[in-house]
Amino acid sequence: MYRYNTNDKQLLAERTNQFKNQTLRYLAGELEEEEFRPLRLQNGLYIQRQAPMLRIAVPYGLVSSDQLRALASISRRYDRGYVHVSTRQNFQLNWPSVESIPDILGELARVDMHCIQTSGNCIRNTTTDQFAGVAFDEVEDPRPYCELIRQWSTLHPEFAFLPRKFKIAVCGSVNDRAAIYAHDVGLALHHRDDGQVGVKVLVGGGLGRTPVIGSVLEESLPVRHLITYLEAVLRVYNQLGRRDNKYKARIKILVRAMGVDQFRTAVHREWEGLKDGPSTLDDRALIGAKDHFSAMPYESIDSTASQLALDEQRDPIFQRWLKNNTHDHKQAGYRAVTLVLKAHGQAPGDISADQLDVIASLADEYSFGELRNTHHQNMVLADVQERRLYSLWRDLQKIGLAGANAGHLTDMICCPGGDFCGLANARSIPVSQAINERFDDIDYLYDLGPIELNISGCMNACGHHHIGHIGILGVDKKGQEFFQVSLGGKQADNPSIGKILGPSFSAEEIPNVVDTILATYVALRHDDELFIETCHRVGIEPFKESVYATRDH
Amino acid sequence: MQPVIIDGQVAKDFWLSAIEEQSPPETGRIATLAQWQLDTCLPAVILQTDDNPETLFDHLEQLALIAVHFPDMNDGRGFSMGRALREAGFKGELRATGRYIRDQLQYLKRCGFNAFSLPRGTTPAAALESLNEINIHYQAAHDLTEPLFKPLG
Repeated sequence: MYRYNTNDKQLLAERTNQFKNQTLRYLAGELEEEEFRPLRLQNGLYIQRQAPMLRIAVPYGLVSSDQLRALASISRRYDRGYVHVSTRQNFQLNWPSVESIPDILGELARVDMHCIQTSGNCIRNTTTDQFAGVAFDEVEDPRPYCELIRQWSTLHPEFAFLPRKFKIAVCGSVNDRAAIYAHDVGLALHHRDDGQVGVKVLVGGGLGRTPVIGSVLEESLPVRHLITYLEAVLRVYNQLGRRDNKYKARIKILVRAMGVDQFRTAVHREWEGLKDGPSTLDDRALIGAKDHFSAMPYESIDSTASQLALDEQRDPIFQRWLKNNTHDHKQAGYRAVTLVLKAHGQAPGDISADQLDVIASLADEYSFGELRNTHHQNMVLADVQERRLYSLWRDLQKIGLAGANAGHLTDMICCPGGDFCGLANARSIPVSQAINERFDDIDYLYDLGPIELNISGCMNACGHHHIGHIGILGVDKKGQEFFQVSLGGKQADNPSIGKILGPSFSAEEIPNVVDTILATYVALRHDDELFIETCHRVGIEPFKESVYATRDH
Repeated sequence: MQPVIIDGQVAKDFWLSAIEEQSPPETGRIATLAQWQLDTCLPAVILQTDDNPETLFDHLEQLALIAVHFPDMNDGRGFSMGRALREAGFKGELRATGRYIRDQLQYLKRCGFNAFSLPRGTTPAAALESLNEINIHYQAAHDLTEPLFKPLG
């Protein structure tokens, strides 16, 4: 992974000191609330319902074991001994005090971590595929490009006060695992006919109040133009994006208002002056970036033998975990492993300090000391030898992280909701827990096959409910919490926005509603037809009929 | 007379603020864009953040001062206006005025502004300090031609 050099360290030290002074000036009354607000947001600090929330950046989801241990220690000292993995691959602390923030930032900086641009109307942390660099279907490793975007966007002087937040996602594989169609800018790497790396540029995707699938801005931009082109896109957005209404300020609204062709013309006009300029990625810059992500020192392994050894493990629970939670790897004899952070009684994505410490040791022992956060609010050990999977599984069982439900119904995405967030209309976590408890029959879950269930506590859609196969959205009706259910959303491979089933439900009704939806699917499915495929084939009507027919009035 | 910061030093402001009603503006007074458009020989003009800086592009050599007025610290359009004017070749005084805070001064400087009216409630010394809080920059901007991600050969 990218290791900080002296420049990175100096910049971070100066930035940490700068924010410390800003916080002290605020606490001393020298900075007014509305002046401090954008400054603290650009440093990941929210003032929330019960306590501040601090969002810690994990650049493109990559984190080292040392960083995890530091995080565990910070969460014990300054918080309540746990952290939360967000859908944008970052970590969040839910209970720090404002006064302790400078100290937390100081401790984070010691392990090259920070909260820069994890919130606010600026370019946010770039996200990518959790299997970047190891995925079997990868065309080009996205991490070097993510790192270049990180550097370009960090403390960018021109784009710190945009009309609204700006999120970039990069995907380098055949299957999109980064939801690039649901970002302000989505980038898909590919190989062009002329042998260069090309970038397909999507713009104006996003969820929130107005869910939109991104439009194609460029089919194949030579990668050397990546930075100058992004700069041109941001310039157009910074100057023309709406600032009169924050609900209409995202780039998707601008692209829709201008039309993608006219928006492209405006970008090209800006780009004329930037193209081939100093920020062009010459070979030196590209090779320099790639050097940070060279292959791990893999052993050469006879994969037939190691496969056979796995087959010999007769334990059916292990075999299920192997099937659902481990993923094909570029390197023969290795697999990537998903740790599902959705245990009973825990909010999705929460992980305790003790678990973090053990995971850090497991990363050292099994996976070259590195981990990834996923946008499904899980963690991944990316480089585990097949012959050591059984032993890893046993170790994960000891800390309750061997749940074999990766990619299934109970591996939900869920925002912090009304329990923590000041924006939420409804408490999403209790709904996720009720579903988790109701559907704990693992055989039934496997029979249902892969299903993505996403829950958001309000229409800002942090839980990505629009692109869940089953989406649940918290709404407020006359001060009461209700939940709207949608079906058929999909994040990749012909992405789609889910369709709303009908009138909303109380929290108590949701497990029954999900149950009816699943039973309807089981009754209607063709052989081997996945839930999402049945949804798209039969449409929403049969589900609607069965759900509202059985509903108690 | 309010002090201003020019090229990293506290200086006296010899320009008079623009007045919309005065037409044409007296000598030594900054013109509004509307006043300037009536007489493009005027040497100093102030832009609002919803003005298009390209309006001035054909006259940059005659202009001694271009000011950009920030109505609100969150209105980031002025940052792009600064870079646009510098990239179009403006060499004169580029001044930020209005409601920004000292914590934004270094970003303004990096976008090509070399002059600043003092932010509300800020001493000249504090403002000067804010201009140089961060000394490492990853990306190319007005003050740095080569981005850091291009390691020197």
